[in-house]
Amino acid sequence: MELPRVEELYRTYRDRGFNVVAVEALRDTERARKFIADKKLSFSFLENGTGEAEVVARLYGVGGFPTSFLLDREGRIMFSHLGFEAGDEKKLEEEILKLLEKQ
Amino acid sequence: MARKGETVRKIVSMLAVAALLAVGGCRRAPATPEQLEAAYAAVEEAWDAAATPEAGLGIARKFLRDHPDTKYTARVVRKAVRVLAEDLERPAEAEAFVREVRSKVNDPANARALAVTHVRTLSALGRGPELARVAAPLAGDAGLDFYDQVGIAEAAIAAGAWETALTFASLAAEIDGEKLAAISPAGRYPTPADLERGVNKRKAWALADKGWAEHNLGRTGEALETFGTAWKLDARQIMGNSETSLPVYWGRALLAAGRPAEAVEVLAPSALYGGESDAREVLEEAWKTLGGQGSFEDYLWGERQRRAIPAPEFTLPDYERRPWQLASLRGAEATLLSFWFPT
Repeated sequence: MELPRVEELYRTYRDRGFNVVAVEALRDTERARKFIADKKLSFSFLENGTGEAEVVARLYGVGGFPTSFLLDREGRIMFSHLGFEAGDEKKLEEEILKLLEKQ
Repeated sequence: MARKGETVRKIVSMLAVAALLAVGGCRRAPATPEQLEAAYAAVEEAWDAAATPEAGLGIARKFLRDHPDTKYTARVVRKAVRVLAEDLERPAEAEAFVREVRSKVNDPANARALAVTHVRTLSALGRGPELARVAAPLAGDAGLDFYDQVGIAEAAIAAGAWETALTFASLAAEIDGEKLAAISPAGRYPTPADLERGVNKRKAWALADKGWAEHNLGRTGEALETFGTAWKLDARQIMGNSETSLPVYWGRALLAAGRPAEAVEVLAPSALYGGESDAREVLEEAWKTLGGQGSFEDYLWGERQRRAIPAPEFTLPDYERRPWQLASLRGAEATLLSFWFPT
């Protein structure tokens, strides 16, 4: 999911308990910082580990980017998404609302 | 400096256009590599600046007339085909375009690349038997790489040319470390384990296509075995998107084989957590076959709750180098965990 679009969702739903954590997979911290500042992204950012600590490929098995997982209140994976086609944020918003309303 | 760079670029492009005219003017004498390169650069520039897609195609046609059978031929044809088939939505003309250029080409690399492009244009027209004829000689061509092979297999699948799909998916499934390294940028796979993952991912991709071809040729037993192998090679992402058509193909084959309960298991991760509409459709069919009652949406929600797994715990540094734990999210109603890279 494209992060600037995620930012919009974050601003809309954060007061209802929606959180965003972005792990930068390539450890290109300098470019990441610039992107975050340029796009005024306000959620949490982490660096991926290396070797055994590498979360992206080894723990979550992510092969393509961007890949996102939506977790429920208990930290269970309820939805996953690969890529950033325009319009995908609608689908994500539906899924967020399901979690905010149904559980 | 910026201004100077700009001026230099302008002069270079003027020279390039002059070169294009000069080379175009004396058709009989073959262009030197430098002249050819300049002519190609000029064409690229003029094409990008063309006022209409048709004007761009005119520029491409002229280049191909003046310089048939060069190392730029396939590239120009591919772009022209994209413009015709996708931008202008005239797939029949795209096919005719490739066919015509193909008839004038002798260089083996060009012949191969154009045949691959021709296969794709025939697929878009649903002309399976013709596609099979064009693809057949390519089966023994050692110059074809994985992406060519899997591309032909999928073009054949789309056109229902199942024998062709089977042949090329089988060839693509022979990908190994050496072949993958040869077609990847240097440093793409830093360790042998990375390379192996890359090979397995592609092998699984090709096997998914192979199994689908087998199933459609009435060899469902073999197909189910092929799908099983593909799954073992590429059970990578913990939930959701599979990146290949494996769940949908496998699910359909299981359903056709009268094994709907297994189809549900195969389809569940992508249909429930990936929101993939094709997978959802087949899952609905499997659910109905199993006697599912009431609302399918309610069934989906219930299954998602029942099958959900916890996100793996991890600790990573934030940008201030403070360690951050997934467990610290407790209390959030919903969290998006996004793996990204800056563009």
